[in-house]
Amino acid sequence: MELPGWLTDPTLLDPGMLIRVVLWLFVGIPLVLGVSRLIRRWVSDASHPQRGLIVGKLIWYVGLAAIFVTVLQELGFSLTPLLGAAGILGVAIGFASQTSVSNVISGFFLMGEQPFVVGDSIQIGTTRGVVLSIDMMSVKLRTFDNRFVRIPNENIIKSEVVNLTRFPIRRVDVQVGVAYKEDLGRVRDVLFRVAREHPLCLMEPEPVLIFEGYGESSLNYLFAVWATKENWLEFKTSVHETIKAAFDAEGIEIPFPHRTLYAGSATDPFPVRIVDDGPGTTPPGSAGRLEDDAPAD
Amino acid sequence: MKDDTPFDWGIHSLPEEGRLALALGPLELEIRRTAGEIRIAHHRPGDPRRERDSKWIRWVPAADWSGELALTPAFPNRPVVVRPDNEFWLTQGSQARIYVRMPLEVEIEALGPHRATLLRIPTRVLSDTWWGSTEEGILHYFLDTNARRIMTDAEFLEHLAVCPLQLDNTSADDLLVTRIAIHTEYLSLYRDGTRLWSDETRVRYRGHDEESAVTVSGTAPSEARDAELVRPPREKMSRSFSARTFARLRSSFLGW
Repeated sequence: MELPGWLTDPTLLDPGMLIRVVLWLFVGIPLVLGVSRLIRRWVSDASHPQRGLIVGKLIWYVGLAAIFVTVLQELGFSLTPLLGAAGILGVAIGFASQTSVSNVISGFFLMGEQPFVVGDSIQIGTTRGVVLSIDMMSVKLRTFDNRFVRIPNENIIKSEVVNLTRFPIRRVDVQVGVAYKEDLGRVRDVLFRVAREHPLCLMEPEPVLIFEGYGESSLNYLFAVWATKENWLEFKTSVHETIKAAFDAEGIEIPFPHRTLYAGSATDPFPVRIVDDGPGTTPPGSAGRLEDDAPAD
Repeated sequence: MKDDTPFDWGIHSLPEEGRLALALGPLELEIRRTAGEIRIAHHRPGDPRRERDSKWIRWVPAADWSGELALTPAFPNRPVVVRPDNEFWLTQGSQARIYVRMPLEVEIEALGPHRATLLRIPTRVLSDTWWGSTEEGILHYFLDTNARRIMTDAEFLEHLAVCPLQLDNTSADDLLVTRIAIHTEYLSLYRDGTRLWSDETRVRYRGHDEESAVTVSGTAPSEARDAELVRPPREKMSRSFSARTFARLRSSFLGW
């Protein structure tokens, strides 16, 4: 590459050229930054933060590239050999940065496909959080316990992504088990009454009660009820509490497995010794304080 | 909190250290003026979803507050889906006029040079329901109704406004009316003596695949021609609009 004359001959330094370069660098770059932010905000307000983010970044990168080229031209560099060199360099860099390139291309797919947008709550693998930004290389999340997580775009493209807030309403599935002795019609009535009277439960889509099978110790039902996505978490907790309270009030038993330990005849029974509290307080043969060889609870 | 004072919509004076206890349908309301503050508590004893404890909500009014409070009725702040107790068929080409009694909200305002809205309290807490698909739709309130064909004097209550609905089935099919969406945001509220009315809403059903044409009259209904306007609609509408009015959303369990 042939160097420009001013690099080899300091007497040829053009003050006008230097001023233009300084202006491009110190005025042009902040200007592009300001314009990209302004347009990002405008598009975000008018459309969606996701679109604002993409348009803002596009303007920033294009503007920055234009300033870079202009400054080089001002300095007298010919772009033709530079582009040739960039091509060779690009191949070398390409080999060295396959992961980065993959992330960038994945980023374009994510922006185009839009499985989620900024502000959505998503789950990727075991990570759940709110999308803070979707960048060229990665997606940034704020988890619900307020940690910052950066996930490379390539990983997201390869993984299953669950968008928890895409749709406006969500279902809560309540697993309910009742004792075999219960009147199932009454159980049904109580559950539907709970749904009807719960302030966060949507009347429609209507609650559904599905019989799931004869369990070991209970008749198992799935009670599916709906709430808006904003109320879903609160509803999920409170509907379980309300059902328990309603069953208690109605005397409906929620059974759970009881375990009785039986040592069998092959071993000796647990040793039990009756201890008198004092003379005359415990008649012979009546129950007194029990002690076994193990320390008492 | 219970008080037998008959409820009166309108302006109430509240002297310093004064107390106002009112019962409006299922709602019991207590308002106090104490230590330069307005304190309001409400309670719904018969409502299974009632708040566990009635809490006082406090305001510090402007210094030039007149000591007067205006209690005015308002429609619920969301559209309402009404479910007739008994579904009914509207055969093709038929018309029906039904009346729905809509629970109102009480808006409490402090009057004076700096008029301030303090609170809006529903006289009855309505359930929420979803109107639309599971992917998009609008949150509505839900109300069971008798869908009366005739209103008798005893059915007018101070906390309920009567909404006349004129349903026309102009489609080539019979229509089973199971749900009706009432767009309260376009309804005005009228008062005829002690009776409260909304404008007449005319719904023209055009078929299963088309939205219904909804027109709100913008005047008091024919049953109360001399009624005075109490509250204009929250939103202005053009002459009519199209909306899904009779649809119903069911739980989807496909694949189970």
